[in-house]
Amino acid sequence: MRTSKFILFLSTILLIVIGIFSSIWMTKQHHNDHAIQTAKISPVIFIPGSSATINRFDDLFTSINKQSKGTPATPVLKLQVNKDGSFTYNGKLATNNRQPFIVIGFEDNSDSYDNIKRQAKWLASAMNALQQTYHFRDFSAIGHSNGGLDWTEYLENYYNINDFHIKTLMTLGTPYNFSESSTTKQTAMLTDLMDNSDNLPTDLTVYSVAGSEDYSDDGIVPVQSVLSGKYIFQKQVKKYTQITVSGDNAEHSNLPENPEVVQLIQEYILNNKSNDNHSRRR
Amino acid sequence: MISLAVYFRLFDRLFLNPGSLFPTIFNYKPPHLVDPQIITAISNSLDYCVILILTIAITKNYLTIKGVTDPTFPLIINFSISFLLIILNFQWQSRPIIHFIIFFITIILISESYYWLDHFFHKKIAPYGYIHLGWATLIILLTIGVNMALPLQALQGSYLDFFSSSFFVHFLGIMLVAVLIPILPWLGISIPTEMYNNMTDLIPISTNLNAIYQSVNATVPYPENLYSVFATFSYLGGAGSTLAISIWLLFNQRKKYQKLGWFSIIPSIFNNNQLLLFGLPIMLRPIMLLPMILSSTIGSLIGFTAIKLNILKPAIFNVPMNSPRLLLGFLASQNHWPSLLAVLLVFAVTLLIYQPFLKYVTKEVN
Repeated sequence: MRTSKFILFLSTILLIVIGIFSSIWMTKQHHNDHAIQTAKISPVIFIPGSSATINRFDDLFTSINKQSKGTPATPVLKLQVNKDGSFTYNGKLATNNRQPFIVIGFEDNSDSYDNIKRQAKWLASAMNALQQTYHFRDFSAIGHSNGGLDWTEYLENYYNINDFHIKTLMTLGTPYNFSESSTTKQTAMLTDLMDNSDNLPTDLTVYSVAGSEDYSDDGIVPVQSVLSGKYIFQKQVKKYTQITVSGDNAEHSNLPENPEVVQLIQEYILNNKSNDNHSRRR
Repeated sequence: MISLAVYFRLFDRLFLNPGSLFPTIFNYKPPHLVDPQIITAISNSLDYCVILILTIAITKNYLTIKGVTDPTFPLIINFSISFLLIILNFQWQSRPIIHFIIFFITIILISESYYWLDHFFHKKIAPYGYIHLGWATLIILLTIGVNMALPLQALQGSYLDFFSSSFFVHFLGIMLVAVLIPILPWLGISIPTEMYNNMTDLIPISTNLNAIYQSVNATVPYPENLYSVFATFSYLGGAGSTLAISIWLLFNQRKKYQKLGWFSIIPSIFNNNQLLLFGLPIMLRPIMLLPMILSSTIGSLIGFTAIKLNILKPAIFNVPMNSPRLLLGFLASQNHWPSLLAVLLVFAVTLLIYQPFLKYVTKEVN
């Protein structure tokens, strides 16, 4: 009987301890969730490609700000994920701007499928850290080159609709089949992305932009490799649109500054009224 | 074996899983000792071992009571069939939903068929002869055939849309759930996962959450619902509010029931009453069904009335995974003390309900 009383006493203490710590957690979580739910900002998050830094999109931002004369320049926050998982921040967001720009780059920006998988995991931790600080839930995504692969990998393996809501994804010169120009040969990465495509958000709108100097490649990425994105996104997301830009500034590295691409970003991401609808937690 | 299975799964769900209770509330990262899928596979294997042991126990006891002198052969066949069904339906990555009643019925029917075979050919044929082997072959083929036509996984559906319907935010719907849910584990049928996992995926509950996040003073659209009433007041220790049983057993005069109380109290606090279902046992024991239904129904009645009369704030918010249900009302209403008192009152009522039934059951002579 003494043992029973002792067990009952210990159980009561356990319940009290759990109650106290759970109560503290509830209070903290409620404030955080409330801030996220009522957040007004809906950032556009950019990821550069391999061998590129977080300054990759500076010219693009200058072009966008030039087009929006009379309005203050869009604030830009740059976040680099270091190899040890820590973050280095540059810049900050203004609370009065509803669609600020955030650039997420990686210290390890080498080009390989293994690194893309690592970058997707780092992207997930960066997104969580950004949400903790800025309390946003809705966002749009732009990825240049391998940055588009990072987004795709993230959406298939880490994205959680209870935590975030992505409205639009735009990929620029993203090599979904790496450097393979054949329409029949599939790399391991493309196969994996196709296999996991049913994890993609069903309400997502995707624009895949291919650059082409001569309708075969953009100097680095074969057009067919970009077009392979259709095998991943079609019939999995709400809308998938393939766009090819050519002429001047259609070369791979210049794609973000291509005037047509700037126009596409303005039209489909920045000025898109449907992007203004706030999502609700499911 | 059942204790091992229950405690291993409890340990995983409280300490090892990244989203589990203690890593969440104490804010630590659980050690990555082993791949989580291996832990799930071990946990599932232990559950299946329980089935195999029950198969042996039920077959032996049933045939011994029936007067079969040597139950070795049907015991081997039943064990093999249970093993085969487990292999055909084994799950690595998620917790299997096991309806014990299916195994029980299968084992009993097979044992009964062997009894008639033995009875008909009593002393006329040698054991393990062609007739026995023919019987075994027929039974195995029949079991595989039925399993292929209706695999066990077909019974594991999602009832999210069903329980999200507006019927379950009204008195009748909630009381129906309160009455019927305790019957399921009593029968050996697994409860829908939506009833014991966090219910906040149900549409009325997530609607409440959205409303309260948009404005702190918002009117909650569905204050009485399965989460705020049933989960908070009728699931204390598992379906049928069986935590009260563990408490009473702690102070039972007979050592074997005391020990059952010692082993079952911690799992019961974390809403797992499997040890009581098999240990007391509760499963398929008519006398235990009434207090389970009464405890569940009265709990929901008290909770529904208190919320309807605005005495209590309804449970709205997500709580850490596997939180004790005794604390759900308090935590999920943002530390509303009257909710905690109300749950403790309901718990006291369940203690009073179970007392006479347990007195009778623990004095029963086998």
